[in-house]
Amino acid sequence: MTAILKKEINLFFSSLIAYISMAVFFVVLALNLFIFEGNILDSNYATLDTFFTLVPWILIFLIPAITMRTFADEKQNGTIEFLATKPITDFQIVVGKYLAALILWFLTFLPTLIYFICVKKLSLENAPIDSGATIGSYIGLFFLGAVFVGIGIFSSAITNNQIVAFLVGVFLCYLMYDAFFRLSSLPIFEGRLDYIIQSIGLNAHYDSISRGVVDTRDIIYFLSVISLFLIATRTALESRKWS
Amino acid sequence: MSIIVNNLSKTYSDQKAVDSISFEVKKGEILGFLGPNGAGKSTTMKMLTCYIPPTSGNATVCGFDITQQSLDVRQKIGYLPENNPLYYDMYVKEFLEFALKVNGQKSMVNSNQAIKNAIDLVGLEVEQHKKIGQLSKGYKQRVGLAQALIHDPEILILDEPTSGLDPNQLADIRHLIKELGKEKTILFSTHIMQEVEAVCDNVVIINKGKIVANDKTSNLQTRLAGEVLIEVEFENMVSETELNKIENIHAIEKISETNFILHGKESTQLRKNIFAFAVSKNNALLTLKQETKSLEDIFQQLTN
Repeated sequence: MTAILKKEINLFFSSLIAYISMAVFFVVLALNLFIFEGNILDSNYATLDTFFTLVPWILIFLIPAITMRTFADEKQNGTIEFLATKPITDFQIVVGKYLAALILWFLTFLPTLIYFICVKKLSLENAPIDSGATIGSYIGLFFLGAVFVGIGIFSSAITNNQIVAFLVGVFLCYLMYDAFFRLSSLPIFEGRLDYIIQSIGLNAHYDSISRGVVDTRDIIYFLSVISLFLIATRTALESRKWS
Repeated sequence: MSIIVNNLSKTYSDQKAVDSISFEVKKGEILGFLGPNGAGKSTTMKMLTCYIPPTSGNATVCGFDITQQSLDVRQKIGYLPENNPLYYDMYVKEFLEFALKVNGQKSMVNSNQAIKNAIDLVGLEVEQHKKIGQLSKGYKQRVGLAQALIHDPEILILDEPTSGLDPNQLADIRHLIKELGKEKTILFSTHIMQEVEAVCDNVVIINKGKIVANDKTSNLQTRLAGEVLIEVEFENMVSETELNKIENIHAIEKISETNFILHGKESTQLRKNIFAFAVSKNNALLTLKQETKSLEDIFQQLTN
C-alpha cells in the first residue's frame, strides 16, 4: 500500500498535475479574496466567508481533475493488470491511491492558511477575526475535499476514459454538495423529509462545522461517505471478475 | 507439480473462451502454450495469475488454489501480461523498485541487490537510467521481463514475450527464457512455432478454447514422421504417371516439369527406389532432399 502511495505521489509531482492544481487553487482564491470586486479589503469585515463559500465550487472542478487519471489511466494502459496480479488486495490498491490524492489535496489546502494569517494581522484589535469559526471552517473544508477525492477516485475506477472520469466526478461532486440541498427546498418535501434530504448532502454538514462547532455527527458523516465511495471503488475494480 | 490445471473453463457472456482444459507443468520445465490468436491463451494465463476467476474448474499453482488462495499464488508467480503494460513516466530502476515493493519486498539492502541482478540478467545495463517511455520496444520488453522475475518467483508466466521484436532481440529473449528455465518453471505463450521448437521441453497446443495437442516437443515433431516429404529434381521431363509407379509413394506435388515433392513412407527405401527409377530412365537425378514436417505444419494441421 505504501509502495502505491509513494508511486502516486511521485507521479503527481513528476508530472505537472500537482504544481498546476496548487497554483490554480491558490491564485484563483487570492484574486477573489483580495483583488476582485467584493474583496474583503473593501468590505471592511475581518472574515473569510467569501473564501469558504467560493472554495467548494472550485473544488468541484479541481479535485476530479486531480483524480481523473488514477484508475482510468491504469485501465487504459493495461497496467491495472500488472497491479492486480501482484500479491496485494484490490482494497490496498484503492486505499493507497486514495491516500496519495488526499495528501495532494492536503498540500494544496495548506497554503490557504496564509489567508487566515493575513486577515488576522490586518484586522483591528477591537474587531478580530472569529478564529474559532474560521478553524472550524478549515476543518470542514478539509473533509469536504476528502469526500471529493473519494468521489473522484470512484469516477475514475468506473471507466478507462479520463474525460468521462472527470465529467462523472464533477457531476457526482455537484450532486453531493449542492443538489441535495436544492432538492430539499422544493415545496413537495414537507416536514422532516426536507431535513433528511438536506442531511444527505455535504452542504449541510460543511455549514454546520463552519459555525465553529465540530460535531462528531458531522465527522462521522464525512468518514462514512468516504468509506462508501472507497468500497464502491473496490467494487468497480472487481467488476472485471463478474463476466 | 508446479501448475496443475483441471477442467478450467471461462465463458464470456455467450462465448466460450476456454473450454474445460487440463494440463500440468512440472517443476523446472518450460512449457510452450501455442495457439492462433484468440485461442484462449491469454484468458488461461489471466486465470492462472488470478486476474479473472474461472467460470468453472480449478487450478493450483505451487499447491495453492487460484480462487481460494489467490494472494499466495500471486506471491509465487512472476507475470508478464500481454502487450507488456508499463508505466512510461517512471525510470527503469524506479519501476523495478516499485515492482519489488508491491511484491512484498521490504528491506532496502536486498532490494538494491535484486534490482541490480534483474538488470544484469535481462541485459538492461546501458539503458537503466532512462525513463521507460524513452526505451525501444525490445528494451521495454526486457523491463517487462525484469519486472516479472525481480522477486525471484518460482514460476514465470509470460504472455507472448517475443511479440513485435526484431530477429536479434527475438534470439536474445529466447536465449534468456531458456537460461531462466534452468532454475524456474516457465509457462509461456506464443503463436510462433519456431520459438517452441527452439525453447520448450513440452508444448500444449490450444485452439478455440480446447487443447488439441499436449506432448513433448520432440514427440510432436516425430508424430507425423511416418510420412516423409522428398524433394526431387530430374534433368529431363518426367510424367506423373511414371512417378506414380514407384513403390511407397502416396502423393505427388508437381512444382515444374522436372521438379516434384513426393509424399511417401519408409524414407530410406523410398529414396533407393527413386534413385533406381532415375537410373532405369537414364534421367540424371539432380536433387534428392528429404524434408521433415515442422511444428508449423503440425500446428496448421491441428488448428484448421
